[in-house]
Amino acid sequence: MIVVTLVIAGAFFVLDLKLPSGVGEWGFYLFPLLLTVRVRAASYPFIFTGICSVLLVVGFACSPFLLPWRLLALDRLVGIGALWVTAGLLVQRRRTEQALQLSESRLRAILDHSPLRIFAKDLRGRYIEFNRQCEISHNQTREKALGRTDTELFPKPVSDIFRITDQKALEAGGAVTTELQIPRENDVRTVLSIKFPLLDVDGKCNAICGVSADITELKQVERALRQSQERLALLARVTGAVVGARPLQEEGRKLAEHVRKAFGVDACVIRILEGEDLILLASAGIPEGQLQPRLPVGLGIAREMMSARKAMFMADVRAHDSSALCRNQLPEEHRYISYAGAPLLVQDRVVGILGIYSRVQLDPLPETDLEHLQIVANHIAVAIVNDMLFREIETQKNQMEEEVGVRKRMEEALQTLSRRLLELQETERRHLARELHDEIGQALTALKINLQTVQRLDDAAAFVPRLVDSIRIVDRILRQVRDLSLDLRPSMLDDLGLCAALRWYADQQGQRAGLRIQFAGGDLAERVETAVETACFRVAQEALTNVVRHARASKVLVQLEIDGAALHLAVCDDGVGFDPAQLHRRAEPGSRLGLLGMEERASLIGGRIELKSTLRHGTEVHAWFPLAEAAPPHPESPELVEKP
Amino acid sequence: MSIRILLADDHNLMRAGIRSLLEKIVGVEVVGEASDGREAFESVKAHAPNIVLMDIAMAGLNGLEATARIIKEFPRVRVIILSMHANEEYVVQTLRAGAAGYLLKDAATAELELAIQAVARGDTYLSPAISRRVIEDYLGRTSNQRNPGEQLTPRQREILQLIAEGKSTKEIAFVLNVSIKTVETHRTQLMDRLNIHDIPGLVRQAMRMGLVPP
Repeated sequence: MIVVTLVIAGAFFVLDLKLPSGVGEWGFYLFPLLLTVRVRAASYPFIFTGICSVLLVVGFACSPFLLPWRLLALDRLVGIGALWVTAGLLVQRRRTEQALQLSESRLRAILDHSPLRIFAKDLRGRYIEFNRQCEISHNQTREKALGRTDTELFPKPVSDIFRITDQKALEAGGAVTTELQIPRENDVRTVLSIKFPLLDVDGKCNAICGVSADITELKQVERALRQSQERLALLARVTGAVVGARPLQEEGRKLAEHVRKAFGVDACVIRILEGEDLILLASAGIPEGQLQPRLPVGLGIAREMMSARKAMFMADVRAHDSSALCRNQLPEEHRYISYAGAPLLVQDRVVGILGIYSRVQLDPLPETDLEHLQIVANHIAVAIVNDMLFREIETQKNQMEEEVGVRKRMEEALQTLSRRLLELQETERRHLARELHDEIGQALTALKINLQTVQRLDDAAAFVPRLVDSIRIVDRILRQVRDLSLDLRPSMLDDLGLCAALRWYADQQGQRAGLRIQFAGGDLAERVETAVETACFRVAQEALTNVVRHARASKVLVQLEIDGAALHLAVCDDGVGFDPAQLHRRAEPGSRLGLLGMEERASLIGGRIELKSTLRHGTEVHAWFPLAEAAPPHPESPELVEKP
Repeated sequence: MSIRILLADDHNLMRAGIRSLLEKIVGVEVVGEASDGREAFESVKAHAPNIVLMDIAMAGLNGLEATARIIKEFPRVRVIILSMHANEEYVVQTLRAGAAGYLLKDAATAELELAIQAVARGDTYLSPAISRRVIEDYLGRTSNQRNPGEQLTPRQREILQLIAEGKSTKEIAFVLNVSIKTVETHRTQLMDRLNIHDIPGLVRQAMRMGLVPP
């Protein structure tokens, strides 16, 4: 092109030389000057204009003048000036154009290398920009996309979402940021999109530009991070529960709620193994009242989990009979589809089960979730075992305290008993001494006086009344001695055995006190051990004395029978009874002591006493004395030490 | 032919007394003596008596068991029990063991001969005192009339007990939660029934009835 312009300029120069100089001849040079636009070098118009200027001057000097030379020189000068101005304009434009091109190519480069999708649409929705990232992610070529609308390019659900967000940006008149869920053939992508109107020189909107990025993966990572943070927090709480001193059930409810939230499921249930059953400890999401309080261990997945010692997952419980059964027992709103459970393990020992339930089918549950569930389960297991140990220690402590208390009370009771026994012994000795001295002593004295009188009498006939009187006195002494001896220990007990002695005693007491005392036990044919006979008789005696003194009864039944390898004595009355709980607090020492005495009697030969009574409904005293089967009754065997 | 008698009693004095009584009876011969059940059994074997006079309370084998054994081995030997106890239990048990007679020791002077003759004839002999006592016991248990204690109502018995425990009328009224007047009425009635009109007498009666310790 440079050559073309130079040839044209040369041609004009030759013409200028041939012709005589005239006005406006410089105009010839304008045409090649305009052609310099086509030359790449931006400053070429100036060079060309320089050449032309030289040619014009040379042409002026070598041409004949038709007009006055001053005018012609002026014209030439004006022409040169005009050429320079034109050249300047040309260079300026050229430079502007180049700068624009550069900027255009830069923008293109930026757009095409951006990792973001960048696009622009005119007001009718036709794409006017569609960068490479758009091409990749929408699987469309730029050429195809430009000039087309969303409706033509994308399926309706997607184009609808785009249209709505475009609209929002237009209405807002500024940038609008939204997070879009874009459905695709086999998944849903999360896209962060910024849209803003593009303005023309007048500030009027003429297009919409959008920048968007697919943040699906980012979101997933973020969610995973949040989840692991939550799990960490959960573990911290569970660990807190392990050392916590609050009641286990309360703690369990909180833990269940935390687990439910952390795993994003509908419900969480914690059960504890107790024997062959899984006992409900706590739940979240499903009210505890709706759940089975105890489930047999052998049921379905629980058994598998407990024998495999690891967490398990069921995507659809309806496919498993026993699990479906548990599910269907719940009200409609709590029927879950997916279940994951972990055995609560402490040193390989199963103490329960932790389960999570989802009403939406989870498929599949991530492997890490199952692992986390097992970790949480292990911690909960420790909490449970801790609590059990704590309670066990508490119980043992209480038991020990109770035992100490009981022993102390027993010691006190024994002390009272022995003191009372000494008192009783003294009372009885006093009674015996009085009987011997006052009654028998008096009678013997009277007898002696009678006999001495007879000794001094001469008349045999006079003996008779004295002797008759003496025999009467002896009779009385005999009776008194017999009564006294019977009171101390009835001879029947030794001569005839327990049954006869009891029958006699019941009869005698009944008649003395005006009670109807019935004795049943005639079928007891064999004699039993002397020690047992004595103990049983004394217990019955004490029981009947209590009835007479305290019961205000009108009827009493004394019963004797062989009950297995024991002799069973029952004394039942229809009297006022008492509250057994108050017996030990009762102020009346007599009856309490009587009971203690009976218990001592029984326990000395390995027997026991049982007292049953309710206020106003009589009292029952039961005593059991063990019978030595093999050893036959031994008459010579030393007797139990009797009260003097 | 005289009646051969074996005498078993663990008290020498008693044996001597009975023997002297027996020796006064015509047609009776004491063929042996024993001081316990086992000895008695051996003596029966050795002397073949017609009648054994047997005490109950003896060491070793007691009279009851000895009787049962003798009757079993020698059904022709007849046993008369000599006893201190005029008690129904004893009578019933000894008769059940096979004894042909039951004689109270303190009635022996008068009844020994009668008893021996009756038993020798093949009859059963019971001391008249026993028969009376047994009947009285029986009547006493069924008629509820014999014993003074049985004449009282449970309420009167209760008041008698409280009086014997030394409680005043006021205290008794408080304990039983009734008016003083009611207590006084009950007291008058029970005094009439027992025919005892002084407090010491009532206390003694309560002791006899076992309502208060002696």
